[in-house]
Amino acid sequence: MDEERALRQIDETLDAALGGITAPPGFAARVRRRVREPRLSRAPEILDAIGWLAVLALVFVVALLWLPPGTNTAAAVAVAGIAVAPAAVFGIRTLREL
Amino acid sequence: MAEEDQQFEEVLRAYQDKVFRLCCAMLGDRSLAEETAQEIFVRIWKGLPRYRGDASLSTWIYAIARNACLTARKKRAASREQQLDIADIRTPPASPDRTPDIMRLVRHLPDGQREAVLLFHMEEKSYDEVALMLGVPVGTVKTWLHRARRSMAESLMKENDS
Repeated sequence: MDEERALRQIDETLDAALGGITAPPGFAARVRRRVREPRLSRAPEILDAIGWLAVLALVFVVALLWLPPGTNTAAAVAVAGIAVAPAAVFGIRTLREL
Repeated sequence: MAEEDQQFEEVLRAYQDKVFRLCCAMLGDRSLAEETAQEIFVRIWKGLPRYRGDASLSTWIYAIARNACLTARKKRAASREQQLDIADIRTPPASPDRTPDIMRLVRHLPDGQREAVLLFHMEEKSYDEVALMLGVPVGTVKTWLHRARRSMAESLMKENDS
């Protein structure tokens, strides 16, 4: 088989297989149904986030109370901030995807 | 009908086939292509009130479509990785097929070349349309098509000779 014949065979096969592909029947109706669905409420996620932040805050308050006197509390607060920041980022991403 | 709804209807009518074809080319799976195309139109519907016309409407739509396809592709790859162990054990080895299978050759092309080849034949061989849909210059589409056709022809000739 020469290259010209191979190229012709490729073109003919792909034209036959791929020409005239259209969206499936009922596609537009399914899209219309989806865009008219009521949007989900964000309230449960917001309440969930507030609840978890309260739990985290409580844990750190208790941890601070348990620390021996004279301990550097600024370091503990910084660690708390590092722990909360990724949780907040993931939470915001989740809310954006709703 | 509100103006926004009317505008969306026009977009849906004008682009449903093209977006579906782009999804087919990028995902290579009809049912995933339909699911992703629906998701793309939901995003278009949500974004249409904010569309200010900075880019042309088709450029904006295809950018949304490409991003959605890339996300769908990543999700599929992640779920395939999780299922790989079981799939490898359960799937019997393929029997050697001597007939030239052009679609199999297309599947083995690099992503850009494969998408260009599929869209080129779906979009009535328009370089401009394929370039617009894939978001690359026309010259890149021509290069990808040239390399893809040469590589497929070489494989086909080798298969016929052996």
